[in-house]
Amino acid sequence: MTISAETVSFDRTEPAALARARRVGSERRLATLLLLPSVGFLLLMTIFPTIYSLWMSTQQYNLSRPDLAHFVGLRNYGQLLSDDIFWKAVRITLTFSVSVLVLQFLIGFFIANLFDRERRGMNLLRTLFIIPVFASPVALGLTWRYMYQPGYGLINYLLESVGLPRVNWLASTEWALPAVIVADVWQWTPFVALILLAGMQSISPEITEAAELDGLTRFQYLWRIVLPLLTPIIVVVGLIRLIDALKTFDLIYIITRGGPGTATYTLPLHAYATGFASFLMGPSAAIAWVVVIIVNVCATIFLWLLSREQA
Amino acid sequence: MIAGALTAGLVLLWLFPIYWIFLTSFKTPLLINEKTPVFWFTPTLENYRHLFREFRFAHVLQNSLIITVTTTLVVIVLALLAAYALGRMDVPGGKNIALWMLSLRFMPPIAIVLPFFIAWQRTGLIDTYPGLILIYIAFNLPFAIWLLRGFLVEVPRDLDEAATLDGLRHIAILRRIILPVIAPGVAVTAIFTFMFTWNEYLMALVLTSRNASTVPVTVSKFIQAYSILWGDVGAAATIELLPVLVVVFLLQRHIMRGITLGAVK
Repeated sequence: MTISAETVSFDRTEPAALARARRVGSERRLATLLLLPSVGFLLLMTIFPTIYSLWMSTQQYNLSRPDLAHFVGLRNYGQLLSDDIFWKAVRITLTFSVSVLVLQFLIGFFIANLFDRERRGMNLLRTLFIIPVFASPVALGLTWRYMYQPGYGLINYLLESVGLPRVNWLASTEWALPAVIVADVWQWTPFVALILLAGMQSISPEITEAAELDGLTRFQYLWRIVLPLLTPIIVVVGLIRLIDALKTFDLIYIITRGGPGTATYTLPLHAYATGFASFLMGPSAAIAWVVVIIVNVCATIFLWLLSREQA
Repeated sequence: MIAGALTAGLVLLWLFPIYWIFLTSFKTPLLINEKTPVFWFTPTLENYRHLFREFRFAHVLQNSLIITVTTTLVVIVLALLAAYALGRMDVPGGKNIALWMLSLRFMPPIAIVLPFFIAWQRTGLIDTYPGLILIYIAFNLPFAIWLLRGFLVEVPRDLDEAATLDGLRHIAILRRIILPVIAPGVAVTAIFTFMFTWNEYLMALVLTSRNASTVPVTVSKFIQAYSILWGDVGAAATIELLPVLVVVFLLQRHIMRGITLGAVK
């Protein structure tokens, strides 16, 4: 914060520049004091687990026999490279993340466009629409699991009533992943849609009116004007959603536990099962670090874009 | 008109799964296993009764509330101080600190759950309130600071300067002048923290067992090897979703701002 000349010259007992320096100095001390609890706590809570899990990924460490732990270098990572389940998990993680991202943006853009009109009742609808975003993934996951039930599930009932065959969604290696993708798309599309909507509504009325005068159809307006203007928002939200999707654990774990077999086994689930079901802490930490690396690549791009925009 | 009706229809259809689990919580097992979906029936509270009797749900609910409320209070106080410094004071490297905090949001929980599990086991923090609360504060603090900083930056500087002239110190300015102005921002930040903590699953799953188990962990245990107690699931899910509904309606306008601010700025 810069102190304006008027503020400082009020104090007539010392030269303005000295008073100003003094003020800035004491303000910095206070700012440091205010930041210290948060920054200190966060450093403590992030540096320790980061170093510890990195160290753990170089250990052979079985949770049931911690006394036998020893250093194995990069062997845990090396073994991942020749592990089929790991590579399959990488593929599933990427398929899941990219699918939900694309679907959330396509559906989200369509819905944002529907919302983008001044009409009574729109506020209420928007409020209702946000509910899934704030809802518990465990509760929602169970809800979808109930609807996917082969015998009495609602989805099969609907399929059958329009003459389509029943599917045993969560027991089918072919359909389990799409089923999980649908649940995630359902939960997060409102988030994407409402942010795109906020972007659409920040487009100045002159631009919209000019487009109307030029006789652009709604589609042309969206394609030629809205889309280019929203590109920065789309990139930022896209990266946030991509990172969140790469980390997804709860929804998938609740709906399928990674199954059937390994059909929905993503990297976070793989890391969890390796650590807390097989008690192989070293390999589990190594898998988790692969997630960290993938996420960090995305996050670096994100922060770079953000700081460039703010500069 | 058509677009309005289409939008309304779409939103209601979108929320149908939540309505469906809500209905299920009032059904008898016979109705739950019915092949044809039943919409009209005499509701029963048996599932709720069973839930509280068999799964110590009152205890679990209390755990979740204590952990969530404590986390939210601590986060708001710490975040307000830090965000005030970052948003309205001259801090060397302030922008880098803000970006560093934002980057913490991207840390995958799966990578840090293991170290905490081992550390908490050794320090006796496993399966305790403080064990979870400490982690949840760390999880929420960066985003809370980032959000509040966004709200604080938007308050005109003239306000501070006028207050400085009146001889108010920084903390007094924050408390008496700024806080009333950004009250909606504080509310939104509190909501985000509350909801995240209330819903969190992975950490609670690994770090609690009997004493400090939270609602999501308990509910997930209803999935058993060969059967799922759908009535109990419905009742628990309804209770778990209740705070969301209340909060979303109380603060509808402000939530929209929080979401766009948190994501876009």
